[in-house]
Amino acid sequence: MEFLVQHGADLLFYVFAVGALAAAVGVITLRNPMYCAISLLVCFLCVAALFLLRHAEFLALVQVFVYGGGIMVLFLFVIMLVNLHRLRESSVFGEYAPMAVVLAVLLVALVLFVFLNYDQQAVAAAPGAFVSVEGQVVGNSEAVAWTLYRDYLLPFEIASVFLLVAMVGAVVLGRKS
Amino acid sequence: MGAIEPREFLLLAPEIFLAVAGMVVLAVGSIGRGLAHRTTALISLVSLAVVGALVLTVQGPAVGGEAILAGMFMIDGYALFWKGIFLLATALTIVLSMRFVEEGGYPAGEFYALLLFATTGMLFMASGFNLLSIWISLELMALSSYILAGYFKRERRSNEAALKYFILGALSSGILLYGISLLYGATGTVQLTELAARLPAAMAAEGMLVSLGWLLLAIGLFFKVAAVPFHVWTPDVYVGAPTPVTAFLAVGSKAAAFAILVRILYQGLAPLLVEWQIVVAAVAVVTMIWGNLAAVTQSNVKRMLAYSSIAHAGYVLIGVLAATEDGLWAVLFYMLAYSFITLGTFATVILLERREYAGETYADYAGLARRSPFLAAMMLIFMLALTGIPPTGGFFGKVYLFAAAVQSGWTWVAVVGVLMSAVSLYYYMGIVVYMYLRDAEDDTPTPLPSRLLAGAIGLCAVITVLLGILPGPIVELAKASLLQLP
Repeated sequence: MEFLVQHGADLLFYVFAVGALAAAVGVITLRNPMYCAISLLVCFLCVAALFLLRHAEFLALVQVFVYGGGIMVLFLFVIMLVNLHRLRESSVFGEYAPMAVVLAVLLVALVLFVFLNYDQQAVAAAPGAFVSVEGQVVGNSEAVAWTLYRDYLLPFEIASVFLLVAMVGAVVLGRKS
Repeated sequence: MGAIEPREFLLLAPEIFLAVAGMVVLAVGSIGRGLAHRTTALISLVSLAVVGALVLTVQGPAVGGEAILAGMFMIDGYALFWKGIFLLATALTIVLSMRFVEEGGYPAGEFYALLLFATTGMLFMASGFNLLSIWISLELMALSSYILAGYFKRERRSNEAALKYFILGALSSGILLYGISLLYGATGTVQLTELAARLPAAMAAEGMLVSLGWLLLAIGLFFKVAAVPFHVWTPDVYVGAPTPVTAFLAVGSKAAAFAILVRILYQGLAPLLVEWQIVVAAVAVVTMIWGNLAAVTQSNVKRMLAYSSIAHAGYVLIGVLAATEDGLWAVLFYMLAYSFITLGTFATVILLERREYAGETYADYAGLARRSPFLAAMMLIFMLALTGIPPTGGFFGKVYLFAAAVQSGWTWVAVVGVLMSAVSLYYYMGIVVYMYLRDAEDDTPTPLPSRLLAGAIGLCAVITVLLGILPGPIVELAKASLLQLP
């Protein structure tokens, strides 16, 4: 019990982090597109839980509503509308598979090596970054709003043009001409 | 970070105007087919001119000082020089596209709108002073480019180009973003001046985390400038994309990627100068060698030009490597000269291209000197310039780059550059040999289908030669557009 109280948050972090990773692997390895979509949903939910553990309640809810809700529904619609059965037979990597495996293993090993040698105490994560504005403790949604609409206003606005381009692109490439 | 003052938004007038112009073109393009095509092209050209004027009148007097909008947006001579290059490149791309898009029967409004949105992203990249705003601007440019590469959707090669470009581009963006996130984890900031200030301490405490972070960031940037070994997407995309789009990718996208590469290395990663110089030197050498050797074996002109653009990224990296004032203005001068030379080359390729991708092999250039002396002469000038032979801008561009490297002690890299330029003579002159010394199967003169396009080619050729005779004014301009050095 003592152990759980002390390390409960850490334990939960690892549960959800492993869950998110496993689900992400499922998205790219499962053959049935519907299972892939469900894996993606599990991944989103685990990430939302990670946000909650960092006291970013607003972000966690947005993650569930927007990604777990809206975007998932769109994915499922597309999967049901488009005939994806032929995907199951085609091999994606072909002759490059061995090289891809070697490179991927090397990359993962490198990243693991860095993180296993990583001294968590040395890098001070800004405490309560998600709930403070100029030193004052506020709600998470207020903190996100201040960050998004003041400090990061410019990238936010550029992102809106970016989304417009994405929409135009989907129409241009998707319609029958 | 304090509150943002309204006057700071006024300084964004050029970028905001261009984004709005893109939306207007999008709307006008949907009105009617025949009228809309020329009109949209014209509106796009006029708005680019207005944006150029706005950059000079609004941002010109504001040069210097701190980055505005909470440290996101930097107005300095460096940004303005790049913005000039981007606007010229986009304007010429529009001229190159007019006949192409019209004949293909593809919708015009979206095409020009996407070009304008991509340019908006490029302008934001030139001024970007925060890794996050730089990244999203880069994505704006890249997403528009993916769509443009696949714009001729009835052509299989165009589909292939778009898909490959999109998947590899998304992968490289992911790598770039991962690098940024690691740097943020180690330093707690993504703003370039703050990053440079905090890096030494972070390096001492968490050297490996910082190293992995900046290496991934650099890899992502090398992807975007198409440097070896992160170049594999380039040939297929350049060959498959509609040729005006290829020109845009080879000039605009590459220049924009170099603009942020140099700014991030020089200003954000300044404390890691010694480390990144080694990486840039290695990449520059491999890029020059592989780009040139692979170009030798090509029989398709567009594919050859793709490898040549890879090789040229290697030359520019020599100037980046020098990390001196001379190196920096050499990079700016070279990119300007390279833009005109490359756009001129692709314009000529477009004029010779016929439907179904015919007219792209070396053999199709046989006897061009007799069929169209004008085009052959223009191509000759551009090939001389790409090789770096006087009297062209390409010659001085390379001289300045190599001289800067020698002065800063990177002589061996400059030597590789000179040797590889000699190799490039082989494949550039290959086209000249076909044009002037081989006979064509039929000697009917090639008509010039578009005076506008021919005029654009002539303009590029004149500027190429002028830069080779009188490089002084542009050199002075580049010298006035420097960054603070590490």
